[in-house]
Amino acid sequence: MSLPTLNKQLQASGISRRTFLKFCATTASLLALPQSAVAELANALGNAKRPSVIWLPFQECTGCTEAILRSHAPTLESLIFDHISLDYQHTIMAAAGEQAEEARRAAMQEHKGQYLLLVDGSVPMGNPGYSTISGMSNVDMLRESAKDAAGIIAIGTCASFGGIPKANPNPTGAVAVSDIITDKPIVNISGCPPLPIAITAVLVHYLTFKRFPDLDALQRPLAFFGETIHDRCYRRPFFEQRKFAKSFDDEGAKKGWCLFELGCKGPETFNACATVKWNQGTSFPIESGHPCLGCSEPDFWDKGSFYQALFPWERYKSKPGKGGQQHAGKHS
Amino acid sequence: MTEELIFMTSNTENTGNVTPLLHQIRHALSQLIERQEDTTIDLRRLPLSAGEESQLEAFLGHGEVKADIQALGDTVLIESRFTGVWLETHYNEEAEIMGKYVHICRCPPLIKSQPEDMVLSLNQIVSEIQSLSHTSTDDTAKED
Repeated sequence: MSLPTLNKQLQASGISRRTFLKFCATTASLLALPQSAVAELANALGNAKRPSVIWLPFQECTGCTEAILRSHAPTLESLIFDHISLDYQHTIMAAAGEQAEEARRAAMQEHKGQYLLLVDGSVPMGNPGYSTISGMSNVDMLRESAKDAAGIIAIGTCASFGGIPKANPNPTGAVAVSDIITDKPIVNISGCPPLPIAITAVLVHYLTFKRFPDLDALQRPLAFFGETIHDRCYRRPFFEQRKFAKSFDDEGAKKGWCLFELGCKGPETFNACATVKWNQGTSFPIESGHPCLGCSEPDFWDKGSFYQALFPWERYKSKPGKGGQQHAGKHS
Repeated sequence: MTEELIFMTSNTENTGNVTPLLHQIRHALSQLIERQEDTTIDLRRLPLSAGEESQLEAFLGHGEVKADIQALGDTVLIESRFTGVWLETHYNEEAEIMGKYVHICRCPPLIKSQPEDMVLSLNQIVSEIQSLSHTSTDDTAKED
């Protein structure tokens, strides 16, 4: 079957070339590409064939799917989500059971070696029966679907690192996608939930350059995970001035001071929430008065209290963070 | 080097990047005049405090041209008081800023009519003229 290019699809939808160029310019900026690459991006992306995508939801809460489905609509990002051929996602597809599985296998066969595999949720290894789809264990379905995939995008912290299902005592023996599949390119877009724009940007990069973008030591796209929340936090000046809220209702909290002493994990959390934000760009957790929980980091649920300071302020000041490099050294 | 700059993007104090940025714009403008070479500077990728961004915009000011483009959210293009230096801001449907650029060029690419859109428009105008002719033929037939 011949799949239409994005250009054809945009024309059919009445989306102007100018709108598409605007999308390319903002996406290039998000991916830290030079603006001189916008024309190349527009040409390559516009002529890219509609990709087949198989999306496997495993041990998850559907929060990742919700975050994407409820992102701003209609948006520039939706240009890409509308463009992909989502051939399987059993949470949202009309078909169910064996009928849905037939659709998955048909897409795998038809687009062998070319389809992208998206996974959200962790994979239970303790007992395959903890999570099954149409009688098939998650691990079997993952191995079967990954075999002929061009690449895998692990969406959310559960698929990326095991997430909440893996939290102590990990009753299901939950593991990440990359613990099982080791012979395919994998991108982790962690977060609980992840930023939808990060998923769009990775798809755009893949469609344009036929490969995933540069990744950090945890296989996350550097364009979104190269800096900590703290690096770009608007409350950072108060951290530097050592002005901290000590409780959620004290004067410091009312004045919008730094939430570090209330347990903010921003200094050790790599994600773009502080710049991209949530809910149509309204805010992000710190802006709403709550410390960052560090949800895009491995084992965030087991790192001690959410409400205890990470370390003494003086220690941080003596060893300032250096974005992704500090992280790479820590986890590689 | 880049990471050092990013780390220093604290709002506690200015980054001191406005003056070098203005020199970059000056250099780009001279390149445009001498070699017809366009330059685009992505302000989102530069460490600037909020105050410095306002400082830059105040310095550039407004010139003779302002264009509003409605393309899945507004895009505002302003030629600064320096001819050939444009400020472009992309908004999404929620009026959230998606990107901000300084273009040093004779005309920013987004203002120009796009060839792909022109082809579609030609088809459309042909079709509309044809249906107009049919309507007027039908009307004449009815009068007869």
